[in-house]
Amino acid sequence: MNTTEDRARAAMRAIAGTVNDAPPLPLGRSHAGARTRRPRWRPWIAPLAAAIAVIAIAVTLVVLRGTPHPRPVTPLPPRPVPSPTVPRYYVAVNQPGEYSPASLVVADSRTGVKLATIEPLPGTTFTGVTGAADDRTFVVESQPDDLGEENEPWQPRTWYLLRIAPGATATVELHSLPIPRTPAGSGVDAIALSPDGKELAVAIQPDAVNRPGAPVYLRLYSVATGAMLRSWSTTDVTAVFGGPKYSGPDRDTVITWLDDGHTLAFGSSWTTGLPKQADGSDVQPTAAQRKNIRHYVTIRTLNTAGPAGNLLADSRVVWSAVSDPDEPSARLSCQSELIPLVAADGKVVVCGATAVLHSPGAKITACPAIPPWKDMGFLGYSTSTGKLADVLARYPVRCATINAAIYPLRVSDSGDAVLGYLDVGHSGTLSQTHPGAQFGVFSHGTFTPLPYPLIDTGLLINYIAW
Amino acid sequence: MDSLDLNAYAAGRPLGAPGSGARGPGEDEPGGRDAAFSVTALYQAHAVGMIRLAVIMLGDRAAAEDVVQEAFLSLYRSWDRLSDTGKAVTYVRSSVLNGCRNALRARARRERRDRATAWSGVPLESVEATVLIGEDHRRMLAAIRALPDRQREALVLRFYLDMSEDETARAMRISRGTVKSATHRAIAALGRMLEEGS
Repeated sequence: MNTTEDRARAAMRAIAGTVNDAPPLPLGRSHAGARTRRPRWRPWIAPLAAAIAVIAIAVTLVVLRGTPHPRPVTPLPPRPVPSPTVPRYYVAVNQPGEYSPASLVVADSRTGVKLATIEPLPGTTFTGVTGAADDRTFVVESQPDDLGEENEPWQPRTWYLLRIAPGATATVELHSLPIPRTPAGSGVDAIALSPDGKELAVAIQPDAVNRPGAPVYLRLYSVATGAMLRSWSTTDVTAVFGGPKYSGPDRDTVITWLDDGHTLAFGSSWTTGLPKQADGSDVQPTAAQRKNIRHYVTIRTLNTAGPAGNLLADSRVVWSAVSDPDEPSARLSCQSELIPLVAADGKVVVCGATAVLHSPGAKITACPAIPPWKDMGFLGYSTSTGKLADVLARYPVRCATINAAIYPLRVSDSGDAVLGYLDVGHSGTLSQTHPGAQFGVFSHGTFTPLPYPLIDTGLLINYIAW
Repeated sequence: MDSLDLNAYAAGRPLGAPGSGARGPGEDEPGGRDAAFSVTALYQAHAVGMIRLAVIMLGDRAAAEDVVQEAFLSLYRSWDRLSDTGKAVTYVRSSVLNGCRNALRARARRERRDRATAWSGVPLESVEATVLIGEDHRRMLAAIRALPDRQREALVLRFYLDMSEDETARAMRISRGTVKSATHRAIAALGRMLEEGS
């Protein structure tokens, strides 16, 4: 009963145990008792959004001294980071309160100083962000904050351009974009702004809410005119989303522009061999069944200068991996749940990696008995050979929990450094000098800490951008 | 389903009125007799479990019962449109989760409004306050309810219902990776909240 997880389980069981009966079900009042569901889209929002065509927000740079901010990890002392791999500014989607709409936070990556907080229009919330190569130009997405609506993730998205004008008095401007609003019921899975800030790539499944296996599209829009420039599609949802799409704003794929300005990389991961019940739900695999389970990760590239058409026929696989959960070794391998990132030069794929540690004779008596124990790190694979090219970081975990997490968030142009987050959970400890959760730059075995972003929500691609 | 008269159920007779030919519950409703029988059977088999789930989420027995009843009524109303009635329990569980989310948001809006108007309402008494439950559990449950929606739901599905990551992902309509990260963050947040409150 020592871990938070155990305590949570016990508390939930305790309160659940107080319920032993249910009142009769009054089917006869099903009509009278039916609640009126609010419309998915409030009609007044559209003219309001149109009327506010341009929102300009000038924000004076304010240095916040000693202002505590809730952080999910033990903060490390911020210090200037000279690394050229860290862009100066980031923009993040942040939900400051449990039931508040999400705002945008603009801050300095290296000092942690907040430049601006941008509140959404009344009745809306921000849901995603992507940045250009200049670290000054971003596109953000917004949707109605239709509280109480069960299909909230499928609300139409509208688009804004965010620009940062640096200086002693930094200015942040937000302008509405003419890119068409997505249809209600669409799943917007990933967005990526081109390095020059002129084109927005959107991975979208227009009928996701009704048909999780519906065709998926990769579309390019002109930021200046809003016109759709090109569109590719496929019915093979697995190749893009890793399978039928059930999540609205969640990012099951990652789109990356390469530095040639016209190649897009996108990836997916999926699992085969999981035993199923007759109704399609999972069952716990037996030892024999586990041998058939495989996790696949694939990265494809698409030349957007070529003709539009079939997403799979027009793209090619540049890197793929298969992991075997029963692999009897301590080899570090990419976590299948996370899409690897592609460096801007297209030559390196970087992933967050873990490995079950099998160390014969290892002394385990000093650790809590919470297997599996894992190594963690960031690995770089060559797209030309498909082989491991670089270990950006590797940390033997002495006592880990199943909550170990590792998230690559941005890769340097040549793939030799990764900006990311690494945590081994509440009862784990890392060897070497790392006390626990880390946010910063990992490169060739060195770690440069950065101030943890000023957000309460998760560190995921498209929820934070540099 | 063990407590049901399965022979009567299979014969299409109203439960509780075997062979009577009497009008079953909801026969005049759009879902029809089959829907009434099926939903009633599902309710008898799963209502207690669903109320337990909702009580964990809401801490309010009456609100939990309302949410669960509304979920089953919604199932009844849409029974004819279900493409796979074998997944009715999944549908109800999803409705219960949505209902809990909406109830919590409505409660938060009400509390914000009350604060804004300086209206002093009757404080909501949680179910923990009326039953014998340890202080440690009370604090933990309060912390669970303070989690963001996704983290709370992932935590409850994983650690109360003991669903696998894949099952949780399907139930929440999010990816397995998101389930993993949400659960991780939930545990981390709970640890922080409990530490701060101690």
